[in-house]
Amino acid sequence: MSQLEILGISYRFPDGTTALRDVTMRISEGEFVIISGKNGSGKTVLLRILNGLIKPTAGTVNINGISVVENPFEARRELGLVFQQSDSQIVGQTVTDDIAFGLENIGMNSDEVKIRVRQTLERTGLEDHASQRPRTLSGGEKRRLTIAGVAAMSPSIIALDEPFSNLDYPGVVQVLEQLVNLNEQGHTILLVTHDLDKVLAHATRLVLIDKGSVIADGNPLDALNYAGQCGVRSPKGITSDNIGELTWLKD
Amino acid sequence: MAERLIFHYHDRKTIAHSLDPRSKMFTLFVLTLSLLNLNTTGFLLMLPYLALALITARMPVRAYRKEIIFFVGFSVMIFLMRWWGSGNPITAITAAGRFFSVVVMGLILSDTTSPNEMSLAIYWILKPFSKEFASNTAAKLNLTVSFFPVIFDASKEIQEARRSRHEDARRQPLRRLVSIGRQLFDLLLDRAEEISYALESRCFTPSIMHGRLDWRFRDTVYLLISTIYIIFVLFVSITP
Ligand SMILES: Nc1ncnc2c1ncn2[C@@H]1O[C@H](COP(=O)(O)OP(=O)(O)OP(=O)(O)O)[C@@H](O)[C@H]1O
Ligand SMILES: [Mg+2]
Repeated sequence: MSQLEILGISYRFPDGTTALRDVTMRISEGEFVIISGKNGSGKTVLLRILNGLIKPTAGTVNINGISVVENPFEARRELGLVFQQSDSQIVGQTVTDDIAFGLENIGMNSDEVKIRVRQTLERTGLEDHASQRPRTLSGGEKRRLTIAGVAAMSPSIIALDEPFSNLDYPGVVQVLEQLVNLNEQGHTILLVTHDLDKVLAHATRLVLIDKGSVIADGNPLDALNYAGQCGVRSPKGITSDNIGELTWLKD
Repeated sequence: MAERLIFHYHDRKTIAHSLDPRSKMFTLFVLTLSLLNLNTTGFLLMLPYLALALITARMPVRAYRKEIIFFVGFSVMIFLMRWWGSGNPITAITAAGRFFSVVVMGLILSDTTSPNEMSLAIYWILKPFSKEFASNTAAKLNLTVSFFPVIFDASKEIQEARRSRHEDARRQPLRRLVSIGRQLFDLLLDRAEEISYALESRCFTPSIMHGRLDWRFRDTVYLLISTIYIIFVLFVSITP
C-alpha cells in the first residue's frame, strides 16, 4: 500500500472555477516529489486538500490508510503543510513557543513538548534562535521556523508550498539543506516549486500540473520533457549525467 | 507588521513587561476604581505613581504623540464641560485628569502585556466558574486582539497603494471611502482565511492553553507596594 493515495480528486470553487480535474497519484514512503506547474494551475488547492483544509468535490485522499476527508485532524498528524506565506503560519511569541504550538494542540504533556522542541531545534539548526522573537528573524530563518513547527509534529509526509519564494541565495540554501536532511531522516517530501534548477537533483519524482490536470508524473528526467508545455522553465541540455547539478547545495 | 499600533503589545525588556499579567490587571482594576473616588489632593498624589509606571514601562510616548493629542483633546473637552457645568476649574481639571489617567493606565497595560498573557490571565480568572467557558473566552480574546495589527496593516497597505497610484483624496470623497471599505473588507477576508487555515493546519484546539503564567516574588512586592500606596492615597483623600 502506498503511503499517500490521491484517488481521482477534483475541485470546483463555488463560482464554478475548476481548480483540479481527476488527479490521481500514489506516493511511497521516503520519496522526494516535486510538483510544478504555472501560476493558477492548482498546486495550492491540491496541497490544501491533502491537509484536509478544503474538501475535494470528488475523489478521496488516504494517508497511511487514514481518510483525510473523514478524519482531517488525524490525517494532519501524518501530513504537515508549510504555507507559502510564512508570516501567517507563525503564531508563537518566541521560536520555542512556536515550535511547541502544534505539539500542545495535540495534547502532548509539557515534558514531552520540551524534549520534542529541543530535538527539533537541533535538527533544524535553530538552537541559537530558541528564545528569539519570530518577527526579528530573517526571511530564511522564518521559513525554516515554519518548517520546524511542522516537522516537530513528526508527520510522515511534509508538504511545502513554494518554500523558496522571496528568499535570497543563503536563504534558499538553508531551506534546501533542511529539506534534504528531513528527507534523509525518513520524511516523505512533497515540494511545490517553479525553480527546478534549485532542487531537481534531490527529487526522486517530478509531477507537472497544468489547468488542474496531471500532465506528467515520473522520474525527473522523463517528466522534464513536458515542462515547456506546462509553462515551467526547464534547464537546457539536461541529461542523466548532469541532472545532479540541478541544486543550489554545494557538496 | 505594524510598528506602532496604540493599545497593542510591544515587546521590550522592562520590569513592567516581566510582571505577571494578573498583578498588572488587578492593580489597574483597583486604581481605576479608586481614581473615580479621589478628590483633587488624592488625584495629585496619584500622578507620581502613574509617571513612575510610564517610566518603568519605558513607554515610547513620542511614537504615540498623534493618538495622545487625540486623548488630550478629549480631556480638554471634558474639562470645558465640567467647568461650564460646575463653575469650579479645580474639579474640572481633576475630572479631565482622571479620564486621562485611566487611558494612560490602559495604554501601559496593553503595551506591556501580550495577547497570549492576557488570555491566560482571563482564563485563570474565569476558570473557577467554568473551564470550557474560560478557555473559549480566552481563545476568542487572543484571536481577536492578535487580529488588530492585521487590520491596521491592511488599511495602511491599501492607503499607500492608492497614494502611489496618485489617487486624489479630495475628489469624490464618499465614493473613495466606499471603495476603500470594500477593498479592505476583501483583503481582511483573505487574511482571515489564510490565518484560519494556518491555525487549523497546526491542529489548533481552542480548549488548549499555550504557555503559562508564573507568579514571582516581584509580583508580590509590586502588588503590596501598589496596594499600600493606593490605600494611603484613598485615606488622605477621604480625611478632610
Ligand atoms: N477563492 C477562489 N475562488 C475561485 N477561484 C479560485 C479561488 N482561489 C483560487 N482560485 C482559482 O483556482 C485555480 C488554482 O489556484 P491555486 O492557488 O491552486 O494555483 P497555484 O497553482 O497554487 O498558483 P500559484 O503558482 O500562483 O501559487 C486558479 O485558477 C485560481 O484562479
Ligand atoms: Mg499557490
